[in-house]
Amino acid sequence: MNTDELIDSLTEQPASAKKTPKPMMALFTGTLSITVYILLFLIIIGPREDLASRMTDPLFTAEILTSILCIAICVVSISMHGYPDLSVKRWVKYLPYATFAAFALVLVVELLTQPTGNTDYTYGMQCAMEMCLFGLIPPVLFSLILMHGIFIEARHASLTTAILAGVTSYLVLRLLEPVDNMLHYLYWHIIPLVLVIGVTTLLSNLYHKRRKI
Amino acid sequence: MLSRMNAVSLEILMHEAQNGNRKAYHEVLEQSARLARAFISKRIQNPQDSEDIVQEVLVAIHKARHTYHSDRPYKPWLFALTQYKLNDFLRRCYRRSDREQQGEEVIANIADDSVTFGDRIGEQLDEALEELSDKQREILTKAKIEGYSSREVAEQMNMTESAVKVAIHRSMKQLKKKFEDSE
Repeated sequence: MNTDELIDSLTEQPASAKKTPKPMMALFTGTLSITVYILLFLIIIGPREDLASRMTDPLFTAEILTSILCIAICVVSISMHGYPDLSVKRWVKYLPYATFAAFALVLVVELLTQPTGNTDYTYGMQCAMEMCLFGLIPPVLFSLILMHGIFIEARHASLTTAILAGVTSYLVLRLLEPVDNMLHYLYWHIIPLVLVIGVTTLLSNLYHKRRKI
Repeated sequence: MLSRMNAVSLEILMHEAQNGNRKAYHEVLEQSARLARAFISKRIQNPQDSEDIVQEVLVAIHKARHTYHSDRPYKPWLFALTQYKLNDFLRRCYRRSDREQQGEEVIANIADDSVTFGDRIGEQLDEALEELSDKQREILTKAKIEGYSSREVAEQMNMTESAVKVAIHRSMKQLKKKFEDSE
């Protein structure tokens, strides 16, 4: 079949199609969903009692702020990934990694400088499970929002979704759980965070590859 | 100025096309094919390959047309798809050339072995070649024994270069399997 015949054949098929929501609409819906998701936990379970006093610690504040920044950038990036012309922009592809690196750097500094003490194993497994469970919803939300999107940068989209899932669950748990033992965080929060990111990347990649053209 | 008008008209045309105007859609696809062809031919020398990619881009436009909004310029959207399809094609080419190279290495290793062993292998090679179809054998002989390039073989056999490459790859794979089985 030559190109002219192909054009004729494509023209014969119905040209009208259900449009994806506009990028700003996807971004608005995404931001709203994630905000509501995080706020729901804070309203239902309640934030940790010492949150106000902990916010006076610069490292804790930096951790919370970088995680919020990372989530915000990931939300913007994922919202753009369903549109071929926007997904190829450099900042859409790489900015989430930069903010995640900043977040990771704060965690490393905290691990090296904050007191560790004994690991609280009582809630350890529960924390790890919650990390995994809390990370499930954000990718599902975005797969619904960008249900009709086309992903030509599937790998970046998957990794960004995974970072969003991991950091959101980490932030939620950090705002809820009144534990500051960094060894506990390393074993029961940060290692599950890496696990959540790894598994979500694989699953998300499978999903995004199906949405390729 | 002309290019600006062209860009504006493409956006309007695509908007019309998304609302079901087939004539506008036909025009969009024709203009997109022209733009994509110019973009690809700067990067791919072979006109046949270039045209194959243009066709893939057109199919991609058709599948992704619902992701375009007329408030954004059309050309970046088109070129994102074109670049994506071009990268896809190049990735396939590299993979294929890797596999062909592996096949060539198998034959080169056989040729490097001792004469007695070479004779036995030569017989096996003749047998294996007999199992190929006449066309496959002819293509393989021209490309791998007589030393013609894929393009030259394509011209001689009245085929596309891609088809010749695929035929060579399949024949080499068949030969490789035959040798592996006999081992």
